[in-house]
Amino acid sequence: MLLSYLAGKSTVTGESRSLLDKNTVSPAELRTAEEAASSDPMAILSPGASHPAASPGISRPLPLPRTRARAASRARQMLENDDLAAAVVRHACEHETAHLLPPLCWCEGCTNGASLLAWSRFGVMQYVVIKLACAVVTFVAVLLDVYGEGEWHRFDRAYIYVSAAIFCSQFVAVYLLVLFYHETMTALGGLSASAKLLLIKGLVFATWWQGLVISGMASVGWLKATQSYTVSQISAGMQDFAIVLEMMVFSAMFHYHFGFTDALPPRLRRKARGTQLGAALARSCMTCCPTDDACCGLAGAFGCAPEAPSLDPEEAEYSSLQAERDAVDYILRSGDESTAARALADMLPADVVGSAGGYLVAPMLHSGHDRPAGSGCGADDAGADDIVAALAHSGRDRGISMPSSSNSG
Amino acid sequence: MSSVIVALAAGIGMAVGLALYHSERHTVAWYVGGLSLVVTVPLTLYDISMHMLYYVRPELQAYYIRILWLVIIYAVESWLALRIKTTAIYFETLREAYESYCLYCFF
Repeated sequence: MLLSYLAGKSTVTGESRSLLDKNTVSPAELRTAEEAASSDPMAILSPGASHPAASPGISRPLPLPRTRARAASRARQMLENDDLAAAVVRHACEHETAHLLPPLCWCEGCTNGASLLAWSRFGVMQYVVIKLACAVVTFVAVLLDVYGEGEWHRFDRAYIYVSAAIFCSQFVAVYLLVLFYHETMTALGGLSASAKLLLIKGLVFATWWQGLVISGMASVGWLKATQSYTVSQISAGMQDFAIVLEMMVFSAMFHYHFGFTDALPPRLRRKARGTQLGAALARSCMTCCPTDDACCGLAGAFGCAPEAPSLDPEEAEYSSLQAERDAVDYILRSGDESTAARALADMLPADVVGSAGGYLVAPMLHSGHDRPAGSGCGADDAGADDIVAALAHSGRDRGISMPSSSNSG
Repeated sequence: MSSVIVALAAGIGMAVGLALYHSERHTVAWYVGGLSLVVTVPLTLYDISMHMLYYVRPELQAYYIRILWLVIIYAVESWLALRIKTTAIYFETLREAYESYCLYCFF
């Protein structure tokens, strides 16, 4: 799920989707942005920043400039995905290379930032394709009665070839995924990524390995045929039985590591973690849907009545999206960046200005700095300073401090 | 809660009874598998429904829901394959297909 953030595949909800491309930032663009401004990780948030066409003019005519729209949408995307994606990107920028273990030394140097992303994607996609192909081959081979489950020594049976293909494919996939996890470990700290990684690996890969071991036991003769069952029937039955029992354990662990509290904002998540389910429910209830009847009934049942009703969730989401879109439109159309930024800073909630305001403004600053000389640089630099000043002012009013990353101007 | 424990205890008792008085191991395994399925499926469905109730971050929770379905599909497929050996290959192929789809969605 995190890879898709970085690949720009992550879609923004509802109405704001129309402004965005499906692939807002491709790995190649990430790479060029990285090269253009390797010293400043924030520059990666504005993929079109180094392009000369990014220069804004006063009272620009429509249609909107593509690069600016993309920078703005990217920044908005970062806002919606909170600090997680930003942390991943920044981490990938800061760490140049990973040192690989022997079998895969050949791709050393390809493991930073966007290349790592591309490699991890390759690792998983090849597994997807090979696993699916093997499933089809198995299906056909079983129908033709040439599959030979567990028959390692028969080279005229499909089993050994299918197993070998899946074995190699899994090796590469797991290796690259562990590498990716290793590179992004610190950035993902808040979501207990190691537990999730282990659980999914356990579900997808370990069950296959266990099947391999059981067939191996059958083929070396540890399993004996009984009066009513053949060895292959016992082997298949053991695998299925083991999976059914393991899924019970998995479902319990998934309940803790893939629960809905992960979707809550970090502040709330910290509170919800480690408390009773009812309390977590009630808290999230007040945040998400204070006027939802079923939800309130649930919260009331746990002895925690919701607070005073506010907006309907859909309405609230719509209005916030609408306001955000209006603000971005205003920036793009007017070219009056200081006024727009002030309006934006007033519009955003205090914690957003504090944590992510810099991300929103950084693309504007960068696109302002990288334009060719003689196109009104001075005026726009003043505009950039105004943005920072306006945001800082707005933050001060609410008793919060500005992130230092936005002060590049 | 206590009724759930009583029901589970009764189920386990029946499993022991089956193991003692029923010679078919296959039936016992299928029965015990069914017992674990009674825990697995409702728990995972509960998680999925909670995600759908509090669907506040679709870009994250869509993946969670797909992963949670994986548990149900694995469990039910294996249980059915345990019972109906002749058609096990169809379930297995479907399971592999879903697993591939689930992984594909990540990238």
